[in-house]
Amino acid sequence: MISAAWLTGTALLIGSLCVTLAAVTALWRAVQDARRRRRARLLAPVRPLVLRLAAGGDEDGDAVRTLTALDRRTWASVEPLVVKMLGKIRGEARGELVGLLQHHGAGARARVNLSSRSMTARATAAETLGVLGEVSAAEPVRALLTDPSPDVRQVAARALGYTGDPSVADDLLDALGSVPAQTIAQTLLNLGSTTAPTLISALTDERDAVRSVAVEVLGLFQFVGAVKPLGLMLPVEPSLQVQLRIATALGRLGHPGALGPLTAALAPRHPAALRASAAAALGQLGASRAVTPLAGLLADPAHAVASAAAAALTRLGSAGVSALADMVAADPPPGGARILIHEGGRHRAVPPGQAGAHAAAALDTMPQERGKVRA
Amino acid sequence: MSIVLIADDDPDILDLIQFKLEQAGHTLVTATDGTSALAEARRVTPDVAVLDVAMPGLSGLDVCRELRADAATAGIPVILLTARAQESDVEVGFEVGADDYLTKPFSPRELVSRVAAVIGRTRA
Repeated sequence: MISAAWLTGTALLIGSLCVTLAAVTALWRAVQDARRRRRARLLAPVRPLVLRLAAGGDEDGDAVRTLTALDRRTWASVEPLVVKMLGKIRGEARGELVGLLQHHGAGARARVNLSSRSMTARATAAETLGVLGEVSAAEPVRALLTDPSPDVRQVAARALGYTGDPSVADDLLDALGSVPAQTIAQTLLNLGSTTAPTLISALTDERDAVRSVAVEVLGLFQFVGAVKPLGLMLPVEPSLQVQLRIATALGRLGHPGALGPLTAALAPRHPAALRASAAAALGQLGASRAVTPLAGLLADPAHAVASAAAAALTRLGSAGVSALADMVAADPPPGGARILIHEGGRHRAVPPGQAGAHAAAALDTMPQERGKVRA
Repeated sequence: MSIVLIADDDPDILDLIQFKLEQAGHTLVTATDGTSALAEARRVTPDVAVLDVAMPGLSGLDVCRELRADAATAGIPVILLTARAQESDVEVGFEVGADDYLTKPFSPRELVSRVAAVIGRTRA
């Protein structure tokens, strides 16, 4: 049987533990707040100097001189702002900021901190080495792509983008799944088109995510050398999501070589989503030879396809506008130009006049054409 | 002297741009979110608005769209600041009526040139 004294003793013990824990937490917070306030106090008078330097406005060299002469304690408060600015700006001011970091030994400190037990210290070290832009920093930072902390992995990936070393592209693609695809894509873009050969090779990777990012980045680079491989890949790509990205990328690339693969993707045997993406991409491509196949889609039973074709035709100059106007004349939409075709998330079957409705709705989005072809 | 509205949720970037544009002789009006950017644009009708695309609440794209929809602010030139991977934002930006864009990381000196060019085009 449990005695009253034992219960009282246990309750007192638990109570005192809670009080101790609360006191330790409050103390820890107070120390952190005091540290933050001290850093803010030290930073405040020199912050305008850092911003002036980052803005390229230190003509008399006064800001550099003052920041170079800062003591270690003050510099510790300033360094995070300098690192942050290096991630936000480019141009000649970068050199001055990098020089400051080097002068205060930030690079050497960061290399040591890459293996710190503190997650924050590892992430900060990776970011610092990244913004310093040294190719030699790529090797130690790339090891952090497999760090146990997702935050550190993400910062490391971003940091690799600043090193300018294209050899990290493979490691970045391998990190997909443990680092968000958007971060990987951004980093590859920052590394520049020297990564294009790696990305072209990645088009045959067995992982959908790798092919997807490679396609996306090649399109954003507008790397003309990607037109042919992407065109060959489009009809045989097993993933619909990747196919959609290929169509978009081919549109972005804006090369006549994309016309054939995109036109072939309009065929009725393909999924409606792909046909719609191909139609939109043909509009972006701006090739007048796309007018005839796109006009043929205005009566397509899939609303998304017909609508995308109509919108694409508005981007193909006078030939596209003529095709839309001809369709309105040949197939007048019942009850005026604006007809609700997409209702409650479901597509209705195509009634007579619907091709004209799509065409009229597209023309209605063009201020210069509005009202010309309406009855 | 031109009035330039800058909207960015990062106070360091805001101060950096403010320093650079004031040095170039412009008068600055600042906002740290899309809603106050819109309010400031309606209040002062700046000669140009520099809007960060990714802001809390109303994005730079939303602000641009709202400016164009109002006859009183439709003529304000807009420069968007965007990250490079957000090129779709750039496309949408031009669709909603932006006049120019700069990708981050950006060159402060280039921003000054773009602002001057946009103001020059508007006054021509």
